[in-house]
Amino acid sequence: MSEFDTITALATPPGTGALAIIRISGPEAFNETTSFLKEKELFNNAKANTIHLYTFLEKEKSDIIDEITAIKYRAPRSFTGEDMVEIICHGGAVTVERILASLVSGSIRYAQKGEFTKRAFCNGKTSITKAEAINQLISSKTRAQQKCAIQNYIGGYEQKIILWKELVENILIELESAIEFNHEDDLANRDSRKKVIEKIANLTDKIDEELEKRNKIEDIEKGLDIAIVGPRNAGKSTLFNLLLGYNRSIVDSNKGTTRDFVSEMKRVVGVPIRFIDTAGIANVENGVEQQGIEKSVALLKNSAVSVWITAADEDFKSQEKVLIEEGGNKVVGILNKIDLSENKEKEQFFKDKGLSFLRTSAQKSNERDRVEKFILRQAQENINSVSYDCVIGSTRQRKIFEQIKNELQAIGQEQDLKEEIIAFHCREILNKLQEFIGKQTTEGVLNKIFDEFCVGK
Amino acid sequence: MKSDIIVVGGGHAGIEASYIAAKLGASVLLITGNVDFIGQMSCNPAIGGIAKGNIVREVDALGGLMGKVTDRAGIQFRMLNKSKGVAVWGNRAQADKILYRSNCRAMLEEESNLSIFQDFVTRLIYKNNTVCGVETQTGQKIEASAVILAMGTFLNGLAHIGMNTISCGRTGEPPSLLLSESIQERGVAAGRLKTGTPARVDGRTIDFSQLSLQEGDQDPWPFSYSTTHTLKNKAACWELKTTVSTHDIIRENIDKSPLYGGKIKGIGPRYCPSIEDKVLKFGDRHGHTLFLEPEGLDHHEMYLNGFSTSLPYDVQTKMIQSLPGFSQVRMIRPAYAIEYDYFYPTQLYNTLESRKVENLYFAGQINGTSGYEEAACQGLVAGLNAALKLQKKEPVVLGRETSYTGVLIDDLVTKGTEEPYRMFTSRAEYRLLLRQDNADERLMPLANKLGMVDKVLFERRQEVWKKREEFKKQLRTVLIAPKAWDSLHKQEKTEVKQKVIASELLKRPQVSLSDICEVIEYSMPDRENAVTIEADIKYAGFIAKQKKEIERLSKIEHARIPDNFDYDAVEGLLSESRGKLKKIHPLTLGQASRISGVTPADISVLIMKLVKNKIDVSRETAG
Repeated sequence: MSEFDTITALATPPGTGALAIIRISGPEAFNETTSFLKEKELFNNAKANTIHLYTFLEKEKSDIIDEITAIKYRAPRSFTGEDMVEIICHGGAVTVERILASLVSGSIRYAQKGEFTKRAFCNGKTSITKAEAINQLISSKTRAQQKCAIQNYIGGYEQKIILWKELVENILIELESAIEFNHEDDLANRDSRKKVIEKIANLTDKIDEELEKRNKIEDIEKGLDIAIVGPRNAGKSTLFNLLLGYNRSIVDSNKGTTRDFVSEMKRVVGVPIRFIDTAGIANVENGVEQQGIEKSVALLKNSAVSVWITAADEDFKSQEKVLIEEGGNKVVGILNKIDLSENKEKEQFFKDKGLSFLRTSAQKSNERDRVEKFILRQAQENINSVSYDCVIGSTRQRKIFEQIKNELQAIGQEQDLKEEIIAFHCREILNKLQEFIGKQTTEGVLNKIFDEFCVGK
Repeated sequence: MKSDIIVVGGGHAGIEASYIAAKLGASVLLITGNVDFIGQMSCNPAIGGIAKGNIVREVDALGGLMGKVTDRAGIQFRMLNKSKGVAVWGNRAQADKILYRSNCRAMLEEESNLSIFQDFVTRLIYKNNTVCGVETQTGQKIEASAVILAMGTFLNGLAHIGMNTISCGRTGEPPSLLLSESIQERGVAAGRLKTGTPARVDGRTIDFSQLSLQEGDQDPWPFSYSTTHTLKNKAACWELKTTVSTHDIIRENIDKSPLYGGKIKGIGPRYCPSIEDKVLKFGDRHGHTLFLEPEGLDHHEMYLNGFSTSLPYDVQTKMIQSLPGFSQVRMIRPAYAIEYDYFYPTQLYNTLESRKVENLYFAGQINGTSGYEEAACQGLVAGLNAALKLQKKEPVVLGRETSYTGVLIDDLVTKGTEEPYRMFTSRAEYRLLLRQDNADERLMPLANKLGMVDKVLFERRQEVWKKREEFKKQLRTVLIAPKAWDSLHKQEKTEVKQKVIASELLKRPQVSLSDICEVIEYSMPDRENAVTIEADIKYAGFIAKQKKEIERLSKIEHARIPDNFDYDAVEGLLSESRGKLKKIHPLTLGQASRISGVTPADISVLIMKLVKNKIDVSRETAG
């Protein structure tokens, strides 16, 4: 039996929802729950893992708080490995608050962050990597993170790591048999040396590939930049606000309202996108304004997608064509204010340059979906180039891969390295791979156990 | 008769045990079936080799006799693996078996506390759960405070030559048929292992022109730190290969092998396969390499290394005659396989004392090992600890980070072994630290503290270490300029772009200590010191990393698991692991973690349980 006390917490997000789930875990979970239920007999006799309808009362006062359903999980067959109850009550802050307040009026206390998972770990119900993956899963903000997290949770990448482990083991077998059984500096020795070098190169490629994928994921996680660039008063801020769905930038018909750039993150189909509203391009004397314009040009060149917006009721400004060309093929055109005028010259220019463009009036809010879709089509290529199928799912894992890369580089750089030194590096790599899948008790893991988890309990 | 310690068996384990225990002041009685065969090399006429050579150095640093005897009885010396790094060099010597025995005998006789007695021990005498003496074939009852068992392959030994079986300890000597039962009587569980030895042939009947000569090193390296005389190569070895017709003979007659017929039940060593195993399992495209080694200087008997077999005599004869240069060969002793009892070493503490019977120690082949060196280091540890216990002193447990000896014993007592256990350098996780050149620095200070080594020798070694340190210190201060480096045409080895500290430059794989000395105009240290200085500097980064690792793990390594720890009360252990932990009852978490099948998750669960039980893991240390 567990020597822990009994804890409770809301398992669903706080706020208004149809239902909420409250978890209780610990030796007193059943006893304490019974004391709040009207149907005590029913609960006491209920079999584990069955769900029944109960009335939750405020203790003593016998006030009805809510009609709930509850499930009993008997230790060790529960998430935490302890006796557990899950109460499903109606959502809404007050109901949840009243139930929780009742529960903690006795011997139950509020759980600390992650305490349920910790208990699961302490009771041998989950491994450190699973515990880590649960945390990763809960805090996933993007599809990429979520995909990695669930793969980590179900051990989906373990197979890949095991294959690499086997590769390293093969290298070690080659090295060790040369050390133990091949005393002479003969042909067999040199032959085995060659094989080792080839295998090291092979593994290096694989590790690099994963790191590269991770880089791309991290890049896109930081946000894909979409810059809105164009001459003054072309409607950049209007477009910006349209895309965000609310007024973020001040819009004024006076030219040069936006002097610096304004940016805002927005998640579009799981991908974080940073829309950037820039200062309008023009020849100006004012130093501050000039700086703003320089930034705009930089953004035009460096963003993943650059939206060149230009007004249909005005002619091309002097630098406009040059700048569009400088932006290259990631530029898309928006021919704005189409309600005011046609502009065949500008349309022809975009066509000639092979750039896609859209005729719109950004002032009309019903244009939003059309405009968004148009711009995102351009961003799609960037998004598609990111492979979510990446073994590395956390900073910890990234660090492990970087360490592996260091070891590989140490081997790769030196031609005259002795067998036992190469073997030393290979063993380090093996340890790292073990650590990656949690099959190795290493410093980090042990410290976690000692420092974070259960010491002092 | 009465003595402090009785050692049963005069092989490589028994003699080290007797010698060190006597040196530490215990009165020791060494009982052996035939005193003429004290220190007998039952198999190959060689000591050392890769990893094994390191063990000999360790035994020597701890005051044992193997290194000294080898330097005296050696007739050809070779440092193996010279093309690889120093950490995996292995010193190996061909020894004259007769000289080896006589030197062992002479060294044992130097110890006045040590008596030698020829008899067969038939029974152990127990009082409660403690051993207190032995009974012998001649009807003696001899009391002792401790008994060290080192009977090698003698317990219920059964030799096989084809379908013929001979009950013997090794051919020519009777087996020990009663003792094993008397040990098992106290609940010590036994298993059965098998090993083999090849034929010995008459060197005068071999045409050496068809063999290739393998000579010793020009300038041999001694095994013992105390050796001052120059070692000389007095004999040569020969290399040859099996032929197609050898393989055909083996295939035609494989049904006559007791191994393939299922007659031999004991498990043999995978790394030392019989020639029939090699042919059948690994094919025969290029022939299998054999070595012909002299058994001694005063006769012509030679050992055919790599050709062990249990096929019948007549088949063996045909096989040997099919070898190049062997058409006229006369066999002196046929090859044979031998089965014998061993005791599962997981029943021992790291001191090699039995967990079941107090004051009873087990050493050598009866613990499931193979090899003279492996036996010797166990004998030394058993003898040392038996003597220390007698004096009511703390036991000495050698850690895996200190020595191959420590690795070997830890492997045996935590993992056990299913086949004859041989040492490999890859068994040592701290291989770069456990070099053959630094065994003295690793172990001699401890040995000196305990009175195991000669004082004068220790002082001499301390001088050597001091000089090395000074030299290394200088290398850490001297700068080498690109100009100086290039002026001696060293730039082809490695490019020096700016001034660099000599020791840092030496860390580059292409650079040797002699390069450095040449450039900074230092005289090279002598060969022995040069090797250690170079290795210390070249490996410094790796060693530092390993030392950090050792420190980091020591918390877990030494966290004690109480004797009465109830594994059934621990939830979340894999049932397989639970079974193994219950069976082995590891003393520390470190040991637990090395039991095969026990996962890190199991260890985490154990840690949690230990922490919950309010055991301060960080303060507890292994006894």
